[in-house]
Amino acid sequence: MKSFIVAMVISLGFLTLSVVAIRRKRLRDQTAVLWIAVSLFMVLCSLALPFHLLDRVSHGIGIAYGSDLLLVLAVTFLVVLVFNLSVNLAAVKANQTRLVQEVALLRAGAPDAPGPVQGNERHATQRSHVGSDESRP
Amino acid sequence: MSSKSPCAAGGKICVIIPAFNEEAAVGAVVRLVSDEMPTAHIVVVDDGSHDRTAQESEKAGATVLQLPVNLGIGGAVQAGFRFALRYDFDYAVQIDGDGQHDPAEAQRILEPIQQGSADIVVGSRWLGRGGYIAPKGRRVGMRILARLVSRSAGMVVTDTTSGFRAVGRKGIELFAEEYPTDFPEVETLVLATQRGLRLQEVGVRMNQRTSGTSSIAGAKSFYYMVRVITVLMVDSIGRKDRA
Repeated sequence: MKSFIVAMVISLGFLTLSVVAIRRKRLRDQTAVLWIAVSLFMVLCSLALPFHLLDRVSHGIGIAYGSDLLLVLAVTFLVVLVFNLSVNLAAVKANQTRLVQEVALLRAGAPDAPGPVQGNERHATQRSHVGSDESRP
Repeated sequence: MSSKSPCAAGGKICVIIPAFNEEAAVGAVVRLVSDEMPTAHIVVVDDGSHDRTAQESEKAGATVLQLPVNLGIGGAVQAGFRFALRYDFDYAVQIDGDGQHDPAEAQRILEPIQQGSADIVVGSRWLGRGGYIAPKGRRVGMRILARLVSRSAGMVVTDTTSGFRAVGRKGIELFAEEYPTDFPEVETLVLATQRGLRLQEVGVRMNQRTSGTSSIAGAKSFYYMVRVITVLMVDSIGRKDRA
């Protein structure tokens, strides 16, 4: 019974967290659906605890303990998630490179025409430096 | 802003000078280039420097592409190629902003392209004309890289890390669209030859750098080799688009 309460508190807490994040627009579209689904899955697993459902399911597919089944599911989920983030990050980085280059091109203007921004203003921009990544021997 | 006309008989030339915190050297490099190639349009790509690189370049008469954040050498050089593509340049020459390359040699690496015998020409410090001596450890690494790139390019390449190079229209179009960012010097050679560009090397003198330090030194060199070999392996698996 104790484990049931702990599991319920954690999973309901996570469900609340997801809903709050969506309401505050911190999570959007696909990711919002994903995290709602994950928290509902957690709630279901917690509800199933008193009926030893997890153990029955894992016996069914040849895994000795219900906890092991959960572990396998969790690790698989996390690996896929991180891979997906890694792919997304590469895309974001490529876009960012393009945008930074475009900003520089726009500021400089055409070769023989004065650029849209003149003189010292151009150098007075604020800069945030994201990792210096000069790779050259 | 340069007042020079980029138009010249035989096509417009754009000289791309990537510079990161090179205020001490970049002005002199720009002046040397404009002395040597008076018809070329000089573009300094200021890769998010913290110093007066942009001001010094502008004072020397170059167009400055000022990147608001540091992209690394690959992203910086690509900005130059995108400039060259947008304003219809026929040739692009890449020269380091640290004074390591002698602008007097720029015409020599451009020549095979203007004559139509190559699409990308690299100034190699190992082909005759000496003067440059690399530290021993670095020499070994450079040789391994040369071997790897030569195999992939199907021709002998001696200097894979030289940032002194020239391309024609084909090269400008390719590099404006796609430019590797991990190890740009090495990877661009693989990319260009994979895409059917004709590569050629020309012997050049290289000075010891007049300021700044190489971004790769000491114990990092070994790690550099491991990474570059991995990246080359990934490149050889193939990719369609990596902007």
